[in-house]
Amino acid sequence: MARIGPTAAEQPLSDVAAADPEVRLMLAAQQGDAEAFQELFQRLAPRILPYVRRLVGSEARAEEITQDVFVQMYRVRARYRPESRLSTWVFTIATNLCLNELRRPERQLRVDLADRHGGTDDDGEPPPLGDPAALDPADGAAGREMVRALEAAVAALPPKQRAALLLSRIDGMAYRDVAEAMGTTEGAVKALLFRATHGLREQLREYL
Amino acid sequence: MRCRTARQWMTITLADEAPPRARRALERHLEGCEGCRRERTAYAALDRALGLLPMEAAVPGALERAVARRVRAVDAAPAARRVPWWLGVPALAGAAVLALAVRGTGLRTAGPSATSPGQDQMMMAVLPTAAPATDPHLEQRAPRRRSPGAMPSEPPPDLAARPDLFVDLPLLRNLERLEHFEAIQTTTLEGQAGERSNG
Repeated sequence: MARIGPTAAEQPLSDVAAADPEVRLMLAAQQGDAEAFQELFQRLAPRILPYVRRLVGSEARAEEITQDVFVQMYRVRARYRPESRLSTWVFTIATNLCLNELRRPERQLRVDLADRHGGTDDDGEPPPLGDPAALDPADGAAGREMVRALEAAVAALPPKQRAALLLSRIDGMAYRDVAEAMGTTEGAVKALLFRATHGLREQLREYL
Repeated sequence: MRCRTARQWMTITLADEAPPRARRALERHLEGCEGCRRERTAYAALDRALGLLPMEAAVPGALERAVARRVRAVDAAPAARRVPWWLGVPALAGAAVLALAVRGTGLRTAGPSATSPGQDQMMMAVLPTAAPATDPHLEQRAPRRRSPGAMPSEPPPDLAARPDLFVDLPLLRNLERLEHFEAIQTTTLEGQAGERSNG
């Protein structure tokens, strides 16, 4: 009988995949390990949610799409092949869902994230984005203002530039990973990033 | 290297994605261009600011529970219900083609009506909810969305107590058309009762 080929669990892992604990969790989830999938959610959702939130610009919709990402991931788990980092595959799903959402004709992007916590810190709630505690204390109010302006400028970027910029800032994502997540080439990613940073540079000229 | 090219390479260099040759060319350009040195300082500040944007966030417990619920539903869905929705499109297209073919053969169900009898038959084939339940051919093709038997024979009590609400309904103004519609189902051009087109 002809050998069809190894299953995802049987085939040898690439060096990158072998070093990625999330790949092993995904392979276990493919075999029906529910706890492995739950752990994957707990590892990945804290990165997926803010990415989706910044890309679609709506907090409520971001939570729905984040759900969709993981449900889709579960539905097509049998198709995953450990050829690269798992996070690249998951961000591919997230990016596609977000860009589809943004293409909907009735969708109007609202720059509400930067404005929602535009007040002072004395409301008692830490803002979900642009955490002032992350800034150098010496920067103070000026630094917080700049971060808020930066969030607004990022939200105003065209969707693909915004996606490329955000993906490139996610820990460990090289340009080739960004290109894979966006279904494009490295050259296209570099062009998107140049336009994005140039646009931000112009928007934030007074701060830089 | 020109200034525009140098500025394109600044972002890539800050991300450690530039090949060594491009980095060296950029450094040589910056040695002789004050404007680009200022721009690199600005891009470096922007890079630091982007690094301050938190890339992780707390996930609401409700979101995790919702995902768990939906994943369990994926596992629990019976295989028969996993038929893709788009399979219904060819079925509907097939019904429309069949209806057009029926019209093309010249079959008539006619009685006097404002609409053409063929059109009424086509509508009955494509919209099986309008099909009479006694027609076995149409009944086989009709998806079970609605049947006349499911319609209430009496209005709800709160509406029954307010007959004034029904006075100006378009339904009442077009009631005679409904009578003609009933006639179409049971008569032919020759006026012979009981004969029915098989659509």
